[in-house]
Amino acid sequence: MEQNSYYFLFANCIPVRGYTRAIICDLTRKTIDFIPIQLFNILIESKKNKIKDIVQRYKGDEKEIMSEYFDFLLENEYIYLCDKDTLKKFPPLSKSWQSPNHISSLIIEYSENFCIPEIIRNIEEYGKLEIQIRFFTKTPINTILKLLSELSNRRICSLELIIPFSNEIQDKTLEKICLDYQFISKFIFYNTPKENIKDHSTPSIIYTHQNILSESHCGFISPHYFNISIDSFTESLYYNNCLNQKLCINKDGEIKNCLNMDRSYGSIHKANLEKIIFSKEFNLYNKIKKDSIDVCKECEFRYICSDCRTFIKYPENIYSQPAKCTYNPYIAKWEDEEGYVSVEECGTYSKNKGFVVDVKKVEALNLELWGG
Amino acid sequence: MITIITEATDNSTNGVIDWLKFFKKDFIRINYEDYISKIKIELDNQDSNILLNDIDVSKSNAVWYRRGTINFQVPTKKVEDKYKINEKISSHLNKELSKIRDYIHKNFDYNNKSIGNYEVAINTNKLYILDQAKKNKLKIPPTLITDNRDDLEIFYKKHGALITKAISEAPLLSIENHVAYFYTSEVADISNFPKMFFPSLFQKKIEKAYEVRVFFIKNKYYSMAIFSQNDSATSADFRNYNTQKPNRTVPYKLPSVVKKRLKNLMKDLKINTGSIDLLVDKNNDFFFLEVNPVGQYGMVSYPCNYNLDKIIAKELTKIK
Repeated sequence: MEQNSYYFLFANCIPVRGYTRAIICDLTRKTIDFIPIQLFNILIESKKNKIKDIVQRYKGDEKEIMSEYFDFLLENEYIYLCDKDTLKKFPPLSKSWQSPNHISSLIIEYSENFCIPEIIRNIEEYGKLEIQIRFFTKTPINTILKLLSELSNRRICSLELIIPFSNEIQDKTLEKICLDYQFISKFIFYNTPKENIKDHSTPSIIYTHQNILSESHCGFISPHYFNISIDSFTESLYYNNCLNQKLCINKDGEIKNCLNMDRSYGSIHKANLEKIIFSKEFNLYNKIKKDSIDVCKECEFRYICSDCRTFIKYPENIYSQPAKCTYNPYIAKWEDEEGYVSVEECGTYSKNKGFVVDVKKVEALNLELWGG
Repeated sequence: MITIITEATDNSTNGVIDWLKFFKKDFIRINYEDYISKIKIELDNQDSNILLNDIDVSKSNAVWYRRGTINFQVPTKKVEDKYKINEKISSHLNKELSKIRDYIHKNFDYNNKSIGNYEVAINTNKLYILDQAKKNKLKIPPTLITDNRDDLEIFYKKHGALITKAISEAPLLSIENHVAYFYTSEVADISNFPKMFFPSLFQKKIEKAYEVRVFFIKNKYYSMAIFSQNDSATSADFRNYNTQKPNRTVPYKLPSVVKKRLKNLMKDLKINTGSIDLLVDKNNDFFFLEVNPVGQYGMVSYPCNYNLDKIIAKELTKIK
């Protein structure tokens, strides 16, 4: 490698520091790579140095390791080698998140007691909608088709349908529906006899034998739900990436932030939608970003990970960690990995201070797990 | 009111409209695919009015000419046509409509209320633009148009590796489920060329360090660098995407002298919005390739997080 060069990190490869390690979020290629804290610090602090001069700061083995780090960054096209003048031509990525919507995500439980197209017509005033409609009972295909045709001229960005399995809906029918209504992004059939996922077709069609509409099927935190993209990354810097711009309507017509939350803002039949959407209460959860959530704020995955404010570890503390998270950032281990211990074993929780890590204990654990 | 002239499938238009709705601004969208069903133009000594489908577009505060044009249905009649009367009449009717269309577009340009310009867009000429670029002190790649192998060989001996691309706007060919594009491609093995061929454009292949794509609107310039040199699939034309390992596309800051020359060039060409392609070679020299007044800018906006849809919407609401 040409160590006499200067280097810059490509602007959409963003280093994020966690408690024990860091990652590079590659927002273009939608991947992540783990890097040690030491390298993270160099990428943040030594932006205007020659690689040679950075490597020279170290001695012996460390010097070689540092040289290998830069080889790794170059091989994976995270950095570009250049002269000093070129550095200033490559500004950082703007971290702003801008949206022309007030509401962008709408989840509705299907009911015969209200007219879904009418509701959508009212809500689309507030933004371009990603919609999910959930059916609890077997619904005749003609009812679904009628609904779809009434949604054709609405301001819909995508539509997901979650439907109990029925023999009535044959593959051919499904194909025709997908062709006629191109705003459909996903079909999920639940309680099916067979398990079959066509995740890469458009729209994706999923058959699952589980009852995915039950409470226990929401709020999971896992790499499977990581979203490595510019919009999601920047939104997570300022907002709660689950509840921001989301509006839910349950089968009783109640307006909610999340279907699993008790809090209702009134009935869709009577409520003043505008008042609710701009109310302080309704937007309370929006501002709970990852940087203000216990444990998450020390996790390297915080800007690509999902969140849940309904199932949380300490319901009396709205800033507590999602209950269904299976990662411990203090020791960089997932639950199914060897050596995992829970977050609770790495510190103490109190109502006033939230979770406080036991630095000494974690240090000892990491020494045992990862060495010196 | 803001008038938008565009095509039905143009996604950028949707993005700008989302922002206009957010800002609560009135607009009308005229798609090329939708024929105007009712027209009235009235000129008198006080005023001139243009009503399209009963909407007076001449009273627009601002116009965004995105692409396409205003479209009218031309009546045709299938009859025995021994003297080509029908053909001639049809051609005449088309000319009548095109004058109406031209007038409407010209009217949009009054008082500088238009962003984008139909006349400029349809009359773009890559060769003329290269001439103008040169006049504005921008470097251009040596360029040759020829129809014979001998000239091409001399040009090759002088400049080394060459590329070829369309002189006009290259079409897009849809064949069943496939789409074929006319990409810029490298010229291989000239000795296999026929002695004479269709007049074609050749350019010296610049050994690039990276490409720069610039979107500009009025005096605001937004640039992106594209690093495609490591990838043989995209080394001649970055639109030939590698989806497995996308090119690095990052925000870029143009040197002020290059930006100034580009601004002068766009002023000369009377283009107030568009996309510019540049190359930067290993010596940090900039080469001007072309400008497209109706180019797509989504691929600059998204990876650089520039929110260009919002910026265009704001520019449109600013025009009074």
